[in-house]
Amino acid sequence: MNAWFGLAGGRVELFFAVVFGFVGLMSLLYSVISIRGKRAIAYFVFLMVLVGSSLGAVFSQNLVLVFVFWEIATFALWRMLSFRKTEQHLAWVWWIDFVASGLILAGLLTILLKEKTANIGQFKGISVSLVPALLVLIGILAKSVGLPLHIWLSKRYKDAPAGVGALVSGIVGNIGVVLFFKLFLTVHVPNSLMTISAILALVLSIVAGGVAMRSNTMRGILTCSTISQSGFIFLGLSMLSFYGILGGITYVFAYAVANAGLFFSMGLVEDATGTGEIRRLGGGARKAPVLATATAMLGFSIIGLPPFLGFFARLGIVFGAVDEGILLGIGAILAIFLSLVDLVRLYTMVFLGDGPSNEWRPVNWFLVGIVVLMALVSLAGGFFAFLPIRFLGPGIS
Amino acid sequence: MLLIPVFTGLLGYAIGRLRNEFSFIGIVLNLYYAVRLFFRSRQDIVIYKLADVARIPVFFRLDKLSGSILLFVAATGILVILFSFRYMKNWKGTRGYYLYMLLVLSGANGVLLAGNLPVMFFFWGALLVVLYGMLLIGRSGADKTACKAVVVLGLSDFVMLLGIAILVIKNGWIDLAPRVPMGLYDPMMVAAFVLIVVGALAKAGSMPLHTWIPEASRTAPATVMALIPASLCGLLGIYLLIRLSVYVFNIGSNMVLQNVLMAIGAVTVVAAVMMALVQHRVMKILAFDMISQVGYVLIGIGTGTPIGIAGGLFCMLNNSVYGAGLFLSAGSVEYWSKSDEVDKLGGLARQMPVTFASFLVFALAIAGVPPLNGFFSKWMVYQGVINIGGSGNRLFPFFLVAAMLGSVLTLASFLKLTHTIFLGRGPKSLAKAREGSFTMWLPTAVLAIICIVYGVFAYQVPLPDFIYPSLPFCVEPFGIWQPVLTTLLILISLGIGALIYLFGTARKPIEVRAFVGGEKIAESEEGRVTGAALYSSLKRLPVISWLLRLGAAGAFDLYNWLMKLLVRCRCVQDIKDDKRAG
Repeated sequence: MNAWFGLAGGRVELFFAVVFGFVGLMSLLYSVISIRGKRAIAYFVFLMVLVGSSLGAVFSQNLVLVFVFWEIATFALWRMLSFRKTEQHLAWVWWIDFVASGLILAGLLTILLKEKTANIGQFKGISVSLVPALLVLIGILAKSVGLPLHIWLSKRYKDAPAGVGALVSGIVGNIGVVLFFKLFLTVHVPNSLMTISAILALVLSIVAGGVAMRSNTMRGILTCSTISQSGFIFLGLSMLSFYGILGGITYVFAYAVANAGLFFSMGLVEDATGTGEIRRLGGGARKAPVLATATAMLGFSIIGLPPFLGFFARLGIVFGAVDEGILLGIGAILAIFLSLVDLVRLYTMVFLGDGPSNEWRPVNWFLVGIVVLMALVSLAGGFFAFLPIRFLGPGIS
Repeated sequence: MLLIPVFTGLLGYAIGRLRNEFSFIGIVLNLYYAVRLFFRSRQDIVIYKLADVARIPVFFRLDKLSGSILLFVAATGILVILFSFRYMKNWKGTRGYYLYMLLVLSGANGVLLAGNLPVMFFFWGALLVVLYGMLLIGRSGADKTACKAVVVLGLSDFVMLLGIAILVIKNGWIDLAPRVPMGLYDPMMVAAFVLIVVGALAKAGSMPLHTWIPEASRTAPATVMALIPASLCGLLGIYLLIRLSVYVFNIGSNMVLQNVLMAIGAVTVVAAVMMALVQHRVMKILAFDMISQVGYVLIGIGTGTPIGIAGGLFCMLNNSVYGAGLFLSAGSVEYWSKSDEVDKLGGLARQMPVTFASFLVFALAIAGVPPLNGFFSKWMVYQGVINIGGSGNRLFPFFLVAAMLGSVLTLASFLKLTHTIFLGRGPKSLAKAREGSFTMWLPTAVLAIICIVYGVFAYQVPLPDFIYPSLPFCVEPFGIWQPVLTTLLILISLGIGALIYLFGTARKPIEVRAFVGGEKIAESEEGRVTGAALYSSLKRLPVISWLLRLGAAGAFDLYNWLMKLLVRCRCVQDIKDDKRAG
């Protein structure tokens, strides 16, 4: 078998690397202040391993290596998740990850054994049969979006530090996007596979958006939102059209930055009030106006409202979906609307109104500054959206 | 036009002490460039291409239609901001107010100058974000108002996005002013048109997507109501509708769509004004009256005839003038009364003569009383409706009757409002009320003068300068109406009437027992007749009472339906949570 273990990358890989690097750096800065205690050193070691392995996955030109790096990142994440809870509690999370990885591995091995190569460069033009491709697809969706047990993600984040939540939504979940991009956008796959992928991603996005309405905690809503947005990215990529892929990859940037920022903001609110229950919150805009404004900006970016970066990404995905079929377009619009309702509800309950008697302790200004920086990046990304779009355009074409 | 309001707004926000000054500079510069662009648009079409992004050209276009509306937006903006300088002193937490105001103007300029649909949608969506922030400024409950507005308008905007996507994908071009408008025959094109129109109608405040406007009137400052729902949103929504119906598509090619549009307009005209009649808050009455006026524009455009479309456009411009004027007048009153409940108002005509006179002009104009501008534009719409009758549309009597009935009911609504606020005996709490500073009465006076000029000199000013040049077709001469002559005759009649009054009744005042047409007189202090209970008998009419009850309960409110669905989900979850906990 021909197996090249070198690292290389084009425009899209560089784009992913910048996004992962930025989110990793922000998470590191946030954690430096917010993570204390005896196990802090281990936390930072695993954080660096996670970011490093994600960059490894991005630049790997070998499918097995991409998979291995993803597994390393997942392992590092698993150790970081245990920072505030017992490992026993996480055991079943590990098992679901294990099954998903097994599916991906089985699919990849089938493809590799047939083609006698693991080099992505040599995959151009080859056809992959439905079954192994489907195994890889389901594995990717299961690991990234939680198919079909999406509630698992909310359990995973239940007690995790905010920095970890940001890493999951900003980096680990998106490694699946990298693998999807490297494999399915290089080889020829049956059209039915991409249709299945688009429908699965859209259904996940809509269902997660609906489930978020039933959640009463900030983490629950954000987790469902994370799943919904990830589903939307896969919807865009599954279109295999210029607008769909461009929108999907641009949305990785928009969503990674904005969702990570929202997790940081949520962590700050929890630290300030001692609760994550939205019914016990309110009036945050008066207590922490800067944080509230930055959070609103991040929310608007995720929803996809202009002038934030998320708008252009959503626009591309909707164009791609309509190109594929009007029903997919309608579904995409429904998913966006549910995101709007979820995030407006979250913001209204936490930051607006009079609020119950919860006291707001002062928030750390450095940490607020990180949230503000991410909000500004979302805004600047919108005004200068032509830069990433122009940069990515030739790579996608 | 896009950057100046943003920069001055941000500077004002950063240097709080100078926010009035920076806002004023920004708005004056905005008006200056709007005037320049207006005259430039009369010479030629100006196209400014910025870039090609992802195969979509990003460019701006200035033509006669956008030039006219730009000028109206800038003029309304300067008057409202001038009014705000004193009015907003009564409000708390207004640091972001001027910033939002200027951002709204920048976004509106962007919508009007956009060359194609994606660029237009960028600014259209940005307006939603700013509107959300702006509606958060206000009385208690503003958060719920903002939430409702963003959900309703967000939904309609996303629906519009779907329509734009269909056009982009299926048609390849998305220009807002193509050389030849497209016929509405292909089902996909019809779907695209309908979906985009949904977004336009929601912004304009047409039924059934109007519900955020009355809600906003409950909490938002009068200036916000004057600039956004009454003026700007209506202008932008109807601007887009005209672009779509006349420039991009030819609405005259699909009679079903024409009839649907006119039916929505007719229902909006009558239903909204009926709701206005039974309200007890000044702002809410005005909000429903504004919604009702949007119906006339829809009827006019829906006719698809040159005179009807021109009438619709004229109606839209007039709405922005008297709509803003009415809310600003009500704001002047509220500045002193600290309340907009009709029971707590009255007798302000002597204390606030300029505001009263302005309000009276606006009320008569909106009700379509000659020779004011409202009459002229409505008259053009009637002509359009009659024309479609001549072309074989059998539904035209229904639309005509609805439009005329709406006008009568609007007059009834404003009789109540004028009496309630300015006539009769006022409460003691308003004894100190007086005309505010010139920044408050000047804007309303200017708007009132515009109403008179646009009505009396309709053939000389608005039609040749704004309406006819903005449309891509010629409007044939229509009907016989001489507003200058009529005005002279009306003035002579009024003069004779005044003489009779002065030499007759005024010299020999007689006291008679008050007759209020059998209505129950509201029980209030000093035995005042406030007019709050006027038309309350409507609530007892068989079908109307049922409809009004349903309306008051929110049965026609899309947002309510959505929220009920959400609450039902929430209830199930809460029960599960409680069981788990206990």
